[in-house]
Amino acid sequence: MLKAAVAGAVLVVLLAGCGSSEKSSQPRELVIAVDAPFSSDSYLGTTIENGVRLGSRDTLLTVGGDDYRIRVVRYDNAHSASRAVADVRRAVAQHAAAIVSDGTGIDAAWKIADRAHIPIAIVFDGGTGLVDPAKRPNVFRIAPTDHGVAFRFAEYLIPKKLKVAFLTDDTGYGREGRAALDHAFSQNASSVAARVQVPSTATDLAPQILQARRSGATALLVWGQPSTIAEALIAARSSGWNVPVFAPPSAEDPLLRQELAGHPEWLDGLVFASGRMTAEEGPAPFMAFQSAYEQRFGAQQVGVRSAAGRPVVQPPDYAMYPYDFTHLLVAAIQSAKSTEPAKVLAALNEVSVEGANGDSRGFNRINHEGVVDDDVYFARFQGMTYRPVQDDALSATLPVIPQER
Amino acid sequence: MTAAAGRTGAALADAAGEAKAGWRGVHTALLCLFAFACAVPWIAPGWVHVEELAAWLYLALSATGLVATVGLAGLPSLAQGAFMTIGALTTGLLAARAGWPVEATVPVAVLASLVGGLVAGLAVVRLDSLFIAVGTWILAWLVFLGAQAFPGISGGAQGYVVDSSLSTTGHYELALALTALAVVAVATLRRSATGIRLRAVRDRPAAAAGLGVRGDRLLLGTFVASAAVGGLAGSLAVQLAGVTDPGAFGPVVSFKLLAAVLLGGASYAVSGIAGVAVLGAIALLARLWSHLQAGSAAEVEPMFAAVLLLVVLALRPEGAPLLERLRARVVPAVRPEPARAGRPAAAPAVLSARGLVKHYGGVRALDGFDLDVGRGETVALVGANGSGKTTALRALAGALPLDAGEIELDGRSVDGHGPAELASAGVIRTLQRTATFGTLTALESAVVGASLHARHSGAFRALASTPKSRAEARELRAAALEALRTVRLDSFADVPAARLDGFQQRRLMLAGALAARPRLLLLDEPSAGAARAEVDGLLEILSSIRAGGVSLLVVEHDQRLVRALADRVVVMADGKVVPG
Repeated sequence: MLKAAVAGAVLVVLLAGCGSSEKSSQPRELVIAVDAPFSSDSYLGTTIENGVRLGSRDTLLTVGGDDYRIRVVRYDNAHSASRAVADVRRAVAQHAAAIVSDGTGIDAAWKIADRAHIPIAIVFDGGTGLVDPAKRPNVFRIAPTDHGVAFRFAEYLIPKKLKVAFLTDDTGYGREGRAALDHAFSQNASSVAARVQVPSTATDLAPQILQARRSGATALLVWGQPSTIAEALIAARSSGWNVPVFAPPSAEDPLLRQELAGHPEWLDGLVFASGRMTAEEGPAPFMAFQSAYEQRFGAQQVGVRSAAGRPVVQPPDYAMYPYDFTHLLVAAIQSAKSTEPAKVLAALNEVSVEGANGDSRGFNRINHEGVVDDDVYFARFQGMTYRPVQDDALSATLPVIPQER
Repeated sequence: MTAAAGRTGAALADAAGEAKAGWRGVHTALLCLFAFACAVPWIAPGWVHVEELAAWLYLALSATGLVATVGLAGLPSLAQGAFMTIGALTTGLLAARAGWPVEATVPVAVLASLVGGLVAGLAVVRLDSLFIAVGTWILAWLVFLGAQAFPGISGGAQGYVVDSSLSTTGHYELALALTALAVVAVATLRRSATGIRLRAVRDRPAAAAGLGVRGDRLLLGTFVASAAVGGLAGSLAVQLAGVTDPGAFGPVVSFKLLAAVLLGGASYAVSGIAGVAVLGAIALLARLWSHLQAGSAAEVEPMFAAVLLLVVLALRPEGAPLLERLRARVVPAVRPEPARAGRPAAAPAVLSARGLVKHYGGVRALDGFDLDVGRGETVALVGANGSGKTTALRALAGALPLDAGEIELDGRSVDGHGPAELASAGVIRTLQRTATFGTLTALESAVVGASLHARHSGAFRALASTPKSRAEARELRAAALEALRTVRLDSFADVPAARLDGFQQRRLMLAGALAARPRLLLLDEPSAGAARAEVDGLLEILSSIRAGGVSLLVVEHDQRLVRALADRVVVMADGKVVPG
């Protein structure tokens, strides 16, 4: 009886030993958590998620003899700081390799991720102070900064001798934009005719537009949510004021064009600033990226038609940034030869990759910004599509990305 | 010192004895559940997020505070989220901007919410339910929009970072302990004389006022206490979250908290927890739904909660019946001790009214009304419908402001005295219509009257279960049972008033008035709707009351009862006494 028991135990140990020496056929998972406002800004949330998914597509990492596949887990922060913090906690609990965020709640969330040495990549919010390699070593950003956009506006508008009225909404995006504009225009205060804050929930901005008009403004710079920009255009154009209107990257959101679908002519002439899609080497890399994106997720239909009557699609430029960060993360893991968070975080400061638009993307220990301030271009809407303006040195050199199907 | 320690020891032993005597299986089960809940952070599987559980528990704490306002006081408040926001933002501001230690911000946050509750309560508690709901809903939006409009207060889009000294597990255990304490407090309050009076005000404000209950004060106090609990929950929840967020406890959370309380059955101490547990299950369902539909749980969760609330309200407006049935099954009926001979009978009152005038537009309801009721005398006030009898009774009870005239009680003017002050002076009125406290048992209904002269049964003493408050509670129940015995309803002590028949309810009104130890009883048509045999029974009851030395002023149409009962009959016509 005793002999049989000992023999059984030995057999179990041997079998277990055999099992452990055999390499698992299933690759392990590396989680990238996407924390974005899926419920409150579906376009932005989905674009960020798709960028990460495309970047991690078919990626099979071999590190330390183990195979890894990337799994994308999405969290909805609904633009709420407390939800974003809770999401980051859950991502940390899931041992995520990285967190890709629109930027909501980063002030409170970065520490939680930092304690676990998990990098956070901001891919939309350009707010000043969010990124600081000395104080927040785990926070990176690949997106145009508010500072960069605001200074490019100052550089573009002041020589035109325009008297600009700032119309900013009361969202975090609008408030941060207002602060950046105040800073950028502080040396040329006479260029600013008025500073008007509008409620983001307002459906009629006629009083605020009238206030701006009476201030003697010869241009409007509307920094806010897409709906705020739409309401400002509606109020200005319907009152017969054909003032030039300028806007930040949020003007690219299809929502703006959908809200103005009934009056496409009111959108004509709107100039917005954004990170440039194409690099010095031309549009080919971005076109290849766009093609891959559309093959995987379909074209981003705006839901309106161009002047020629053809459906308009939105180029996936905001998907470039999470896509590039995902590639950087993979490169960092390969460089570190480890999935250990602290090593991966350190390696992120050392690697670089070719981005979706052909630019080189990378960070270092003193710079965690993936888009330089000068990389902001201007585009003008015409017939529900946009093309780079010709009266700006950088923008004039950029090709037109087709937006009709 | 030794004597004091001995007294304390005796009081503790007494309290332990009472707790042991009242201990039931359900209490053991709840204790086991609590112990299990305490152990969750250490035994739960990995997919259980302790942080989320702690956040839900803080909501349960807030909901339990709201039970007092909604369930006990009957005020449909939609502002609990606003008080949580006030607590959260106070903590955020003090910790992040003023550099206070987070622990020190908690009392200030509670105080801020309490002040907010006081201001809001002063504005809304006197209103009808609909306007209370609308007013508090507006408050919820005002606080939410105000927090968004002033980023200096809320910290803007990124919020203020609040570093807590507690770990997630620490928050969980704290939230659990506070919620359990809140449940015990609400349960204690519910059973106390204050809680019974509160529920009486909720059921029949006018009848409660006739028994001397100061409804406005009770309602305001409850509203403010709920706000303070909301503020406490908000202050601690923001420490758990780590960041201020004006939208974290916005109007949707206010709605969810009210929904939780209603889903949980509203008036039970565990209603808040039960309702929040239901909402938690809904959140899980919403998450599952969002995974299946690739949508967002945030979009569908409030919708699921609203649909469930509508279903519950449609099936039973007072809340979920399940808890009521469970309670009836597991909690045995209360059997009070027999009355003790310790309550001295008060001397009967002498009332004198001269030249009372009351106008309703062009109608003179009272037109120089004079009346005297002597010590221990029974006076019947008769007259045709519309002659002014009920108006006179209301005026004498302080329920009606007069245009002219003077009322004296025992030779002292009582001009300007309200029903509560006159009730304290011994003048108790019963209403013409049948007005019992439907959700209270017969015994509790009588306790409403008995507690008029209570001295040690305030909310704080009741919550602390002091020896004096427990002793007085026993006395009040004994006095209430004695009053029930007088009106021959003692065998119905544990029956809810709403289940009694019409004539039993009339007698129950009388029992409430008797328990208040009246010196002058103002009875408005006590035999209304009674059959002949019932009138005979009523006559016996009223005769025994009269024999007890209470002065009686009875408005009555039944001439047989009047002849048999009254020492003197006063006839009214056109708002004045008919001479002779």
